[in-house]
Amino acid sequence: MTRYRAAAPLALLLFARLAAASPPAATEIEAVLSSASGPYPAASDSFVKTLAREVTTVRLPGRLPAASARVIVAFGGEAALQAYPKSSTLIACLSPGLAGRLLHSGPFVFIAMKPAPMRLLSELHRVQPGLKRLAVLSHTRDMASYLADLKRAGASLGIEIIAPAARSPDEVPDALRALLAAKADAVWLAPDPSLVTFESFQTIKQFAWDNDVPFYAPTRGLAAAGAAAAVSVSPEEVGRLAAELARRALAGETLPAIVYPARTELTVNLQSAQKAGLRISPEALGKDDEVIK
Amino acid sequence: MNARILVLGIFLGGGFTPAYSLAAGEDDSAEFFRFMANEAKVITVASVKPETVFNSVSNITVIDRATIERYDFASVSDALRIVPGVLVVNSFGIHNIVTFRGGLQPHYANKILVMLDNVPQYEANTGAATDVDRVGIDSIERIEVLRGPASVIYGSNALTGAVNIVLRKAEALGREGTVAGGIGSKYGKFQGDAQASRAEGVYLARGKDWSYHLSAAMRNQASPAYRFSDESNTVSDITEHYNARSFNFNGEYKRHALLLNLANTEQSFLGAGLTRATGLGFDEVDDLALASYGYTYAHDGKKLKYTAVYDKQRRHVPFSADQSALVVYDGYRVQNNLNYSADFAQDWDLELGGSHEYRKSLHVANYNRLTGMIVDEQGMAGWAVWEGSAFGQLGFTKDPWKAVVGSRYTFNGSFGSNISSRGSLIYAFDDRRSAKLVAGQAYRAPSLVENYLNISNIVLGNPSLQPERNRSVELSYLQSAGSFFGQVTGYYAEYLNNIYRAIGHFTRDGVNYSGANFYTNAGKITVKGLETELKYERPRTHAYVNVGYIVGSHGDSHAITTPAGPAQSYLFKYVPLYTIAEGVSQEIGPFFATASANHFAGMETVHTRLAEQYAAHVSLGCRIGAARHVFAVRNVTDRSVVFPEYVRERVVESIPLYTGRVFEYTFRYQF
Repeated sequence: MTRYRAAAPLALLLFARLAAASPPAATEIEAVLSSASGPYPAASDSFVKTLAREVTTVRLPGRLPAASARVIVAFGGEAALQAYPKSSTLIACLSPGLAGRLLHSGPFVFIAMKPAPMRLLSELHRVQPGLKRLAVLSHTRDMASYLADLKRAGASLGIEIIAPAARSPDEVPDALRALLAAKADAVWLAPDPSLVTFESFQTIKQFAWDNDVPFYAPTRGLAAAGAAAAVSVSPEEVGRLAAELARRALAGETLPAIVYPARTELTVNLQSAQKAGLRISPEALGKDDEVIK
Repeated sequence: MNARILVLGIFLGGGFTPAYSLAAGEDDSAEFFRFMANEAKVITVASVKPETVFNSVSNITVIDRATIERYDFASVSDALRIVPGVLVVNSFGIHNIVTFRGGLQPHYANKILVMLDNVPQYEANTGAATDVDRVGIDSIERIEVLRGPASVIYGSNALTGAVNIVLRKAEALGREGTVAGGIGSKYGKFQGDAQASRAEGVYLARGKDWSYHLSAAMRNQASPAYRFSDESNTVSDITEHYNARSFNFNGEYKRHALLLNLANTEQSFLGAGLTRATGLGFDEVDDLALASYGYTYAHDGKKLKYTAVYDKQRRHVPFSADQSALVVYDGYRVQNNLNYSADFAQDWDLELGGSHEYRKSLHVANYNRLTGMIVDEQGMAGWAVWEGSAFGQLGFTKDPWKAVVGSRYTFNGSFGSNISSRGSLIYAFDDRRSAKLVAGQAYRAPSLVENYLNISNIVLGNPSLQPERNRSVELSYLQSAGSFFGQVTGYYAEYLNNIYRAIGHFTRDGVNYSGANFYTNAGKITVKGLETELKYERPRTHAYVNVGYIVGSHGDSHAITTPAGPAQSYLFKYVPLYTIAEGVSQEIGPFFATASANHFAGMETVHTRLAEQYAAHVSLGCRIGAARHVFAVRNVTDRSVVFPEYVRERVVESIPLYTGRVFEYTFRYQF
């Protein structure tokens, strides 16, 4: 008995804790956030508010959803790459670049951070009516299906899409030279984490100003920082869309693999646009568009 | 281990957490760049075909940063004690020898490969990687432990397994770090003696395309004194101690990486002749320097990596009471590696590599510190060996199956050629259950000492030694259910050509030696074992129970003569039938408590038998802001815990692992 004396406190501590613990009530929907900061909380709050029902929220590192969760909404790449029960439907959002790389073996839907192709081109065309040839800067391998959709949408609007290859920020200067040679009218920087860095943004902005090629960004903040305009999807809109998809999943609907947000926000930086040789007509802008002077 | 293992940490809940927040006044663009930078890291992990513990090709245990802090491990050797199948023991001359699956290391701890950020390090003369604690515990992000033969990927010395110590890196753009310190009791009980037990500073920084780790650590570890009686029946008080100082730098800039580790360790030594006159109770000192440069080129799913390594180690062993007479082991290694990996089709991946290594002995000699003169070279000065190898590994994944096969061909200037192969087959029942079958081979090249030593024509190396070999097959089942995770592994292994010292007639280079103490190869030893891991993980409660069970044959049995009479000795005579490691941790608000214990089955010494033993430890602590304060009692029962002395096989039947209770207060401040 003596030799196990030291083991007794260990066992008591363990079993007392286990016996006293009341596990939280399992919910049908669980939200997992990659972090407590960044865009994830705003999207998660919007998701919960729109859904208007009980949701268990987990911030990583933390307990992953139980097998009883029918729908799991993952905010951010780290949350999207966790191992979830096969029976759960995974809705992954705010994880740009993970399309086609999700590990979940059950049903899933990926909410893209990019606007729907037709929506993007329509907004850009509104800002730049003379747009005929748009260069898209992204990691081509990840954007293959989006580019295909973009080209189809562009064909109906009379806009040609060109996609110079750039797999890392180091390759951005070469891509810019290629689009200049191809006589692109404008450049759109996709929300691609493998390309979007402070340094690459500065390079593209300077290129735009030096060569009179307007530069469009994926987020409002980058328009304020020097892009001519941005067609962006807010975290709140992502959360709202996630709620709509969660309702549909609970109703037993089969969801598409990728969903592009239909609602976007247009932010225009008049000064930056002018520096890139673009004069934006006030008549082209609506009351909901944000104008930075 | 490669970067894929990083995801194990994520799965086990110890993953990286972006550490930024939008401060008042920062613009949206800065927040967006931070968001993109963190999401880019996730893509990198996802693109490297992330392995989880369920589909990794080896049986790996990862001890991550969260676990290290949760259970208040004071050192790497402390942390390794919880892994089933792993023993951390002392011998008369060395502390903290890490041993896998019964592979006790009689003179030099050279049967496992120890790496720092995937850079192998071991002493050129002996192949020993004795100083696993050459890095402070607060500098470490995780410790990866691979049990079983691992030579296909890692080459020589990964005979029974490999340990990779991964340094911390800044997770987000910016700077962060840790300052830690501690005070520990020196002579036990309440005698009032204390010493600074720990001091460590870690500074991490990350920019857009660069990062670096800078750290310095000091650790003083002393056990309460115990009475020791030598061959002359002279009784003295001995304090077992192990002190280490280290400096680390790890920098990455675009495709370049640089690693530097400088360390100095001092440990108590039980004497060359087990008498006070021969250095008993005095310091054995190791000076270590490891430098590595790496260049990685990655493009479109393919990666080419070149690494150059310089590893210098010098070990001083006292030979006299005034420590003027020393044995010095001094040598260096230079290694160049080139690795290529690629996903060349949807389901296939390929890894190829080559390595060239040069091991040089500068001295293994008796040395007089007062005069600075080498007294006796022991036949080692100038000996060197080179080794070249090439490996290939092919993987195929088609859910739910994954298969990997690989092979390494080695040519060593001393023993000739060797081929080691390994195959793994994994079946994933689903994302939380899998089974693995792994069959593999490994080898360890005889060291320069084992080949060429000559101490006064009495202790002799053997140039005709064959490499030690290990071939094994193991079957594992893993399952995760709710908050529980379990893994059970059964294995069968054959240790071939085990190198040991025999006494008898020996011929070398045409010269006959009678009654010589010479290195030779043993026959086959078969080993069977079972390892189980059970974890319970909740946000504030954690627990583990790990059990290792092992039985080995007597294929290396040989007669020995001791002052107490003749006896039989064999490797597995000294290995405990089972070990159990258990621990539990509970957080309540800012407070936390941890308790852990290690149990050993009864063991045989040369002439006697030891009863079952255990050592238990408790820690209590609290978090105040960014600071963490811990009060620990190690070996709470104040018992003496000993392990059989299996090296010298005379006079001393056992060596202490713990001699009494030790108190320690530590603090850790994160910024």
